[in-house]
Amino acid sequence: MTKICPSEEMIADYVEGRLSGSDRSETEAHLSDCETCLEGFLVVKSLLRDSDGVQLNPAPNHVTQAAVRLVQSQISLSNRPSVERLRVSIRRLYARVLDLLRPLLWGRMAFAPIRGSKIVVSNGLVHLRKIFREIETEIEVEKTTKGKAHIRVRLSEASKYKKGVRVSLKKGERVISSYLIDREYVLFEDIPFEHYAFDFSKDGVKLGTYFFEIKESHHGRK
Amino acid sequence: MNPSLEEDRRLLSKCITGDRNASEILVRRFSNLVYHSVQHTLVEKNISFTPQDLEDLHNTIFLQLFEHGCRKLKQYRGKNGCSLASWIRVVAVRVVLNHIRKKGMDAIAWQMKRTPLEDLSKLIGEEMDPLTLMQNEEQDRLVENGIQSLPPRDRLFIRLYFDQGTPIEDVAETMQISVPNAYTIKHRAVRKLKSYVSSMSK
Ligand SMILES: [Zn+2]
Repeated sequence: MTKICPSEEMIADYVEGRLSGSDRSETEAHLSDCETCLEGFLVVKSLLRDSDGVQLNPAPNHVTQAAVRLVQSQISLSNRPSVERLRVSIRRLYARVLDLLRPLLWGRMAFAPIRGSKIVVSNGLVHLRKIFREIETEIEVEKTTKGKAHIRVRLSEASKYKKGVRVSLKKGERVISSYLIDREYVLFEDIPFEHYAFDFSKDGVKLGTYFFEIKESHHGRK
Repeated sequence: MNPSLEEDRRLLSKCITGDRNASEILVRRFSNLVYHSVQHTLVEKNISFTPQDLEDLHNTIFLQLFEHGCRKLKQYRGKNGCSLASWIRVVAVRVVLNHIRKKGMDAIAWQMKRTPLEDLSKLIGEEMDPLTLMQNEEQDRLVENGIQSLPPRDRLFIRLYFDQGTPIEDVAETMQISVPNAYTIKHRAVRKLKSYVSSMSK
């Protein structure tokens, strides 16, 4: 089986009948062997079939606006050399998909969606603001030594709850450490660059999960 | 070249250089397409969702296009005349499916939908005594090996027609072949599989 999956463009070309010769037969050979690509191909195909004559469901204005802001924040990020040092990529979606998934799999209640994040970056320091259901948190990631960082978490002034909020740093399902945020801030020291999640809860009730990754981004963008 | 393709490219190269206006134009131009693709993919895969899910996935797709200095956007070529819209549509579907898959949500939809080659085994097994004596699992494995020995087009046909249960007219349309041609492929593939299976099970 052809191990490398065809590019999005190759799939689009195949779906819309622009491939011939070896490109076409190679794509067909791959699709017949790769469940992942076949699935994507079939969805795209059905999407095209449905789009004929069917009114497109327009994206709500605020959704488009949010995407514009997000994309423009990426531009200003990539224009700032200091960001090269350290970067936290937020995977807000993971939390959302998990919300989608949990009720399906275990019949549990969906968690509150996480909204609003603001990134202020200085040299080697990333500052984030996350708003969960009733709490507003500020998370600061500071690179300490090579491949490690301190993470500070605090409740911001606007937060409804000031006491009794617990934050747990998790890697996969494993809890690395867990603290009540009763002081000015909670400090997680020398955390190796990796994928993590913060679980926020109050009195045992989960308020939200924040998935993130700390990673070094290298100089010399491609 | 198609004028709109040229425009696509011009817009894209502006985005890649970090032009804020161009980026806004691109997002606005494809926002509906992305939104619709997200919704369609979730519906197609039987995943329940909220407007917030649509928004998050929509934004994630645009983020993925622009993050790391537009790494994803830079992959678009338009070599065979693929429009930016067609390309973004596939990107969007892949992003949604990946996220579904990563979280294991898909397993449910998949299992409900699939009839893994059972019909095919039966079809080949008709009039074939050795097969009926075999365990089902063994049968499937044999059929699977047989499929691997077929040419790519026949393999894809079998995946779509038997494995996915797509009607033959749709398979023909999907593979851009005529319906009679699809029937020809079907008969040819089944015949080849039968002879493969009988030669292997002797
Ligand atoms: Zn593939």
